[in-house]
Amino acid sequence: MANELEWDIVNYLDTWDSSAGGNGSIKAGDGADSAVRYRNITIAQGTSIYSAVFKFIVDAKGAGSGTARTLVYGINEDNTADFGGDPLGRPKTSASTTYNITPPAIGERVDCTVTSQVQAIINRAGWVSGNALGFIINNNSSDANVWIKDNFGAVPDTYLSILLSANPTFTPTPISTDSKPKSVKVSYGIKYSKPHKSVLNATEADIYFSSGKPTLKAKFFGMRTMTNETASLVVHQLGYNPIYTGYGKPSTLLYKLPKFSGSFFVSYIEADKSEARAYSTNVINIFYYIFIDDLNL
Amino acid sequence: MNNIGVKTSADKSIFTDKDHELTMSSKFTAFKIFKTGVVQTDGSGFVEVKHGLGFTPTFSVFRMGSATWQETLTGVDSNTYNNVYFPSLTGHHSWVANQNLVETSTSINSLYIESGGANIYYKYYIFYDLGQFFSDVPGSNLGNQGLKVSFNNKNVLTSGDYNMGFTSKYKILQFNKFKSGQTQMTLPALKGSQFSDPTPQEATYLDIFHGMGYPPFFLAFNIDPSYSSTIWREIPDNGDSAVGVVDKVSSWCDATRIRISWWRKTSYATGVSHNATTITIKWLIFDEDLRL
Repeated sequence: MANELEWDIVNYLDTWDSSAGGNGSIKAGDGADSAVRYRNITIAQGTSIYSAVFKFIVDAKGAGSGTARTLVYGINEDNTADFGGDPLGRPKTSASTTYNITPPAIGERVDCTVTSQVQAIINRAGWVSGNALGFIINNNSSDANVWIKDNFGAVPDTYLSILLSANPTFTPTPISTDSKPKSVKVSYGIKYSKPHKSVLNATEADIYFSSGKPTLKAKFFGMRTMTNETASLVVHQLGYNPIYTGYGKPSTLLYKLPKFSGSFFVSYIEADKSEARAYSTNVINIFYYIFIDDLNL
Repeated sequence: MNNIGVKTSADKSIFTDKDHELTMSSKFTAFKIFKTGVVQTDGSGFVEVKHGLGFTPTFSVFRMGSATWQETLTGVDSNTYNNVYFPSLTGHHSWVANQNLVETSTSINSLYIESGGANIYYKYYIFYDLGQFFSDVPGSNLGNQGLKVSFNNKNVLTSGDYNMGFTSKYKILQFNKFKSGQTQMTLPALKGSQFSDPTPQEATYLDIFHGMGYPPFFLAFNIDPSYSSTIWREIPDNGDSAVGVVDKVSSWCDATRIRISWWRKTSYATGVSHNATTITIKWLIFDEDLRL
């Protein structure tokens, strides 16, 4: 999931499997006790942990049927050292997770929530961001020959995933809005219609101009040759954001902007309350129309 | 404005209105619709519209077709919308497949539409407004019927129509002030997770139910404070697109709504994340019916 902080096992000395005699793997179930360590946990002391999940990647599993039953503890130390020696006797957090597993297929993942354990370690007075933390997985009466195992070496191995706050929805509810009703037609002002159409009863499509409706009025228009990536088109100093449009011309053809792909160039125009500027990846001529009309309608 | 030329106002005094409050002023050029229509690309995805103006004009093109959510992020919208119009369709778009993006251009002779897709329909507008260096334009007097007002220092009898602040010869592109507006959209913070979700995405969209009864010509702009709190950029906007980090604002319209969507993606490998951001969207709805 997005926004998760994740740490992989980076060294075989960060794994311990009692059934294998030491480093190189971690195992859950069938009489094995294991330990795993994560380095450089960049979380400040006392930070509130929203969730922490230990994500066990299954490289091998036992042939038995049933459940691998384990208990998962945090290693209750400020900065637990690597597993150059047997780590299973290190102090454990009072918090633990009952981690009972029906072994999935090889390559799949089995998650274990360890939020309380991580919080307990991060809350330690001696914890410093960048320290290492670890977990001990104790067998808890697993069924015979029912186990899962992660052999150190793949990327990722079993990894630790932490969220510091709840994830929002990444597809927020869409917004809808109704435009205001059309204004009532009035019989004053100026209007003219398409040739051969009576201005008195012409449809909207056949009205060429009506003084009752705004027209885009181009106050500044011209050409600027881009020699750098960004260029000022006009310092309009209108004091508000104007409506604008523009075109780019690398040679004989004129292209509508913004243009974000295709041949020749990428270019767009932007404007603020005092200036209109153009951006282009190539040397081209920019033809711009800056309207006096205010974007703040 | 000095008291030269013609100016109109809708609901205020032309004597006190500021220039940007007027509905029209012959002091400023308005986009004049010279030619409009619907064309279809050929088997190679190309179509040419000859305009015969003798100068390079400004233009606008809308791609016609269906809108379907294209990003891999699920849970946004599973519907397909038919009879949709896409404005200024270059760059990656959240509702149209990349192979259907288009390059549009004009020359002194023609409008060109080059699309990755064959047999696609496009609504085009060619304006009688300049898209080339202004002193290069061949002057031509296109007749003395109707009403026209030229720019200062331009002879109304001999200047080309592109030197007119106002001419009744062409339909003027006018927007509907009462239908235009603004609102905001918010997306939360987004950061890639090394293993479980290294390239996460997020998205939302805005529907403006315009009530026009037809798909209208429209313009839209956005301001993104994570980029700048003062700069407006036209939509569609591909934002800042460092490798693996993308920010897209896309748009389309049909007879019912204008839809503006906002999609973001980031990558753990880049080390870049998106902050929680609220963007402001402004839209202008014109009375012009894209179907005609």
